[in-house]
Amino acid sequence: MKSLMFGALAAASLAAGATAFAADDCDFDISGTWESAPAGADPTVPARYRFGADGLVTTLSRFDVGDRVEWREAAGAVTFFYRLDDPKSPSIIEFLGPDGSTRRGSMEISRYDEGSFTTLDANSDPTRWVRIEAERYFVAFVAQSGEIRTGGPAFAMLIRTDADGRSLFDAFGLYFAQDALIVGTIPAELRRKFMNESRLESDTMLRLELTSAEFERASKVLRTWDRRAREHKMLYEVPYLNNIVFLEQMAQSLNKCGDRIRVKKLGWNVGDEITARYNLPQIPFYYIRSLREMNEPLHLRDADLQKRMGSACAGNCRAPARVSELGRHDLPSRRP
Amino acid sequence: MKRRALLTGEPAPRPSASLGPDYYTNAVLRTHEGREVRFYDDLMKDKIVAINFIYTWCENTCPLSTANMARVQKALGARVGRDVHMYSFTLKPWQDDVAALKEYAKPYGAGPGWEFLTGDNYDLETIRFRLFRWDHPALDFNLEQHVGMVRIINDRLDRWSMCPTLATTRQVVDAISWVEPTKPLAVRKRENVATQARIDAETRHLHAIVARN
Repeated sequence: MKSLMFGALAAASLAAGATAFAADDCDFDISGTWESAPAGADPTVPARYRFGADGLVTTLSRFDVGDRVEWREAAGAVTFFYRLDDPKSPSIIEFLGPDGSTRRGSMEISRYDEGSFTTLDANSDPTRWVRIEAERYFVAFVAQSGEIRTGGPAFAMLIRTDADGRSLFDAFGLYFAQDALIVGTIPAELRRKFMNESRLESDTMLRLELTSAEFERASKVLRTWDRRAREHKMLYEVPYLNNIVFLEQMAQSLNKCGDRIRVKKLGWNVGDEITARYNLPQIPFYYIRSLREMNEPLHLRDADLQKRMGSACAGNCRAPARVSELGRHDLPSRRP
Repeated sequence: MKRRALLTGEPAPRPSASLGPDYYTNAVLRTHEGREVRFYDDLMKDKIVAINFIYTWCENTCPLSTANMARVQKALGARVGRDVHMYSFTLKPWQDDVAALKEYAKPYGAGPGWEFLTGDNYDLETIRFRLFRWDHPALDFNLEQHVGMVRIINDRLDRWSMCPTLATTRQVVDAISWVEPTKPLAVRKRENVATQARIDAETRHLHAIVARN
C-alpha cells in the first residue's frame, strides 16, 4: 500500500469530477478509519488507515488478541499527512511527508459516498476504500396487510449493535391496541414478533444494513415523529396518513446522499401505482413491499441478520456495500 | 343570554370559542425585529390574524404575495396592529434567520402589526399543518403550494377564512371582514328597519309608476 501511495504520482485528470452526492448534510467526511485492498495486493490482508481531522494519516496494524482482532497503531508506525483539494467534495487526495509539506504523491478520487471511496492511480487499477464503523446499523420496514378496511401494523425499526454485540432497538409506526389505532412507539412485544421473516403473503419486510450516516438520518426522522406522538403534534388527524408519511420520510432519508438504497416516492395522483390503487390503510403494506422488490439484493434474511447482529465486530465493521459492489460472500443467502 | 340583554337587544359577552394553545401550539418564535414570541399567547389569542408563508430566497410567488400583502396593509391602514394582525412565516427556517427576514421585510414597508417570523422547523411545520393542511401529502409537503394562500382567523370566534395572496386588495380585505364579529342585534335591527324602509319606498315608487301607465 505504501508503494501505491508514494510510489507513483497519479496522472489524474482534474477534469474528471468525482461522482458525488448532494450538498448540505451530504458533504463527504474523510475523518475516520478506512480499509483498502489495493490491486495486486493480497485481498486477505487489507490495510487500514486512520484519517484524522487534523490532516494526519496513521497506518494501523492488525493484532490478534485471543479470539479478537484489534487494529491499532504499532510502535514506529508510519504517519504522514494528507490534503484534499475540496474536503467536502474531493476529486484529488494528496499525501505529504511527516513534515507536512513535502509532496509524496497524489491520487484521483473517482467516486465517493458515505461508506466508501475509490481512488485511481496512474500505475494500477482502482482502489476501493471502505469505511470501518465502530458499530453495526440496521433498519427494518415491516407491514401486514390486515383487514381491507383497517389494514395491519406497519412500522420501521432501527437496530444498533455495539462493539460488544449488544443491540438497541427503536421502532415507530402504526399498531392496534384493543381495537384502538395508535401511531407511536411500537411495544417491545409486537416488535419481537416481527424479528423473524414471515412466509405469509400478507406480511412483508425489508431489512437493510446501514452506514452510520444513513442510520443517523433515519434516527432523526424517527425521533421527530416520536416527539410529535408524545407531544400530540402529529401533522394529520388521520393516523394512516401520519404513518405513511413517516415511513416514506424514513425511506427517503436513507438515499438522501446517494443511490445505494433504492426508494420509491409516492405520487398521490391517479398515475401512482400504489396510492391510486389502494385505500389508506393498505398503502404502507404495498409501499414496503415495493421497497423490498427494489432492494431485494440488499435485503437481509433471518440468518444474515442474526449473523451480523450476533458477531460483535469490536469496532471493525465494514460499511455495507452497494449492490454493484457485492461480492459472493456479501450476497444474502437464498430464501429457504 | 340574560333577560335584560334579550329585552334591550344588547349581546351578552360570548365565551371564547378558541381552539387554544393545544391546537395552535405555543411554539417560541422570533420576529424579524428579533423579539421572542409565543405563537398562541402572543400572536393569536383573541385576535384577528392574517397568516401566510414565504421564504426569502423564493423568486416566484413570494415577492408578488408579499407585495400584495403590503397593499393590504396599506388598505387596512390604522386597523393593522389594532383590529387585524398580519404574520408572514418562513417556510425555510434553516435559511431564514432574523436578519434575513428583516432584510426581506424592509422594501415592503412592513409596519407595526405585520411581523415576519422564524423559529424551529419542527414548530413551523406543526403550525403550517394546523393552518394549511390539505390532507394530501403531495400538496402538503410541496412548499411551493403554501406560499399562495393567506389564512384568516378570528381566534375568539374560531371563525376561519382563506384567500389567495394574489387576489385583489379588495378581495383580501373582504375575506378578512368575513371573520369579523357579527354586529350587535340592536345595530342589525336598526339597519334592517332602514333597509326595509328603503325597499318599501322603492316598491311604492314602482307601484305608482305602474298605476300611472
